[in-house]
Amino acid sequence: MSPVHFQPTQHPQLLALLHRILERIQSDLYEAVGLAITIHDRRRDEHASVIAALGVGSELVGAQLSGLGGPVADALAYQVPVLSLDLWTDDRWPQLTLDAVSERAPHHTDDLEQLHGEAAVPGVWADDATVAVSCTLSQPASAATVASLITYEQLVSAALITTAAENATAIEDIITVLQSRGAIEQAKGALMGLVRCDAEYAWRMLRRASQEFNVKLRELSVALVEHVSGARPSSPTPEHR
Amino acid sequence: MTTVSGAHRGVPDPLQIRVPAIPASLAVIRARLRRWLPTAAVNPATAAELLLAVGEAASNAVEHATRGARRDVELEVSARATETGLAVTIKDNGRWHAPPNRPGTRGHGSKLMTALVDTVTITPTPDGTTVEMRKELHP
Amino acid sequence: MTNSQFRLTAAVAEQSPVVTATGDIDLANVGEFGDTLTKAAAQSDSITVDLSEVSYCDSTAVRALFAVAATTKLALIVPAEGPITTLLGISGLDRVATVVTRN
Repeated sequence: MSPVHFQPTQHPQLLALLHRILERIQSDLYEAVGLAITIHDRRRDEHASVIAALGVGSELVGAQLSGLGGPVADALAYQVPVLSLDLWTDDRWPQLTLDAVSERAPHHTDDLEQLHGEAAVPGVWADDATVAVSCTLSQPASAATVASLITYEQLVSAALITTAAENATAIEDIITVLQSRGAIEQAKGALMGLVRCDAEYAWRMLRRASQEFNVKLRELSVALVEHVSGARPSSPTPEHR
Repeated sequence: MTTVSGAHRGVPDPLQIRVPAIPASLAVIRARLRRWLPTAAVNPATAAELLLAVGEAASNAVEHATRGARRDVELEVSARATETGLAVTIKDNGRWHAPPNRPGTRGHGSKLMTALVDTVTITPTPDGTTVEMRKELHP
Repeated sequence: MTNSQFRLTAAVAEQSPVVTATGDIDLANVGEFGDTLTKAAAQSDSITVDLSEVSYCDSTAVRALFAVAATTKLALIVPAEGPITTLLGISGLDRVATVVTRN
């Protein structure tokens, strides 16, 4: 069976999930003026593209990817988190100026003028594919910004891996990712947003599951997979770990 | 695999490492490379760059292997002298999910690799993907 | 000959704790590295991490350093040249941590 090539932009539920993750980041980082999730799937496209954004995220990242350079471009390219205190004066990207970006997005000049720092954290979600979660702020970016984005990137990568997977091993993947990277708290928040439940329901779900470690992760991953792909995952495998 | 001995710069025997794709293997790869690189007349600064390039690629492969449900993923690292420099190859037999549809570049997107070495070539094969890095050594 | 075996020592200096790492930092021991930094930083609002004897360090360690720098004022002692300095420059960690080079 030759698999149909996975394209995130053709999965509305995945995009909705990514958007919700960005909204969650925004509530965590209130100086955020723009947020973006950018992917670079070399199997499909030699160019990276923004697949979810809030605020001026899309315009700013688009400008970086078009050749001006910037934290997102560098994070994707070097696979290391990148932080900038002040984009417009950062000597790493001399062409990334307010004028150059405003030219590309003239209706957003007011917002762009507010920008100071940016942080971008990369990840890998397939053999040939990378992702970057980035945040641009009305203040200098800090190490705390990067640390915060590092945990969200894990969730984003998990969502991409899960949706891209074509069989039940996706559930194992997300379980392993959540396990190994301790992304449970983020998953809980995302779950609340996703399942449109209140905090109490989400917590009950998690707490019930947390009494049996494997079940907790499974509930999470099942719920996330269900919502993201719009279908029940294929029949569960025995829980031997 | 022919071994040229004694010629030009004292061409060393090729290096061949096969290890499970687990975190502990990363130190093994570095140790073997560290012993081999001087035999290929590589200076310490260049050796450090190569170790980082290989280390990043191998680390990515290990992280991905531990993410998947598949066990027994192996990493193969090999190194040999070329006429003008070195070629180091990293191959793993794990995969994320379905193999790529068509041949193309695989990258852990590492421009760090290309900043540290001269060329990076990626080749998918039926049982895994191979990353080959070449570095020219200037006398 | 570099001793690549990983070692961590933590000492309390006058101003703030100093954690000295020697050897290689990679995926296998970055957890221990991060934990030691966190514990040392818990006693103070600043911490010095001496990486001048670190023989290998990649983006894995950079992430751990960002995590520490998020909550604690971080000073790094690094070799003058080499991959560590390159990584600090690309990542911008050198803009939020104080970096001192030592040959």
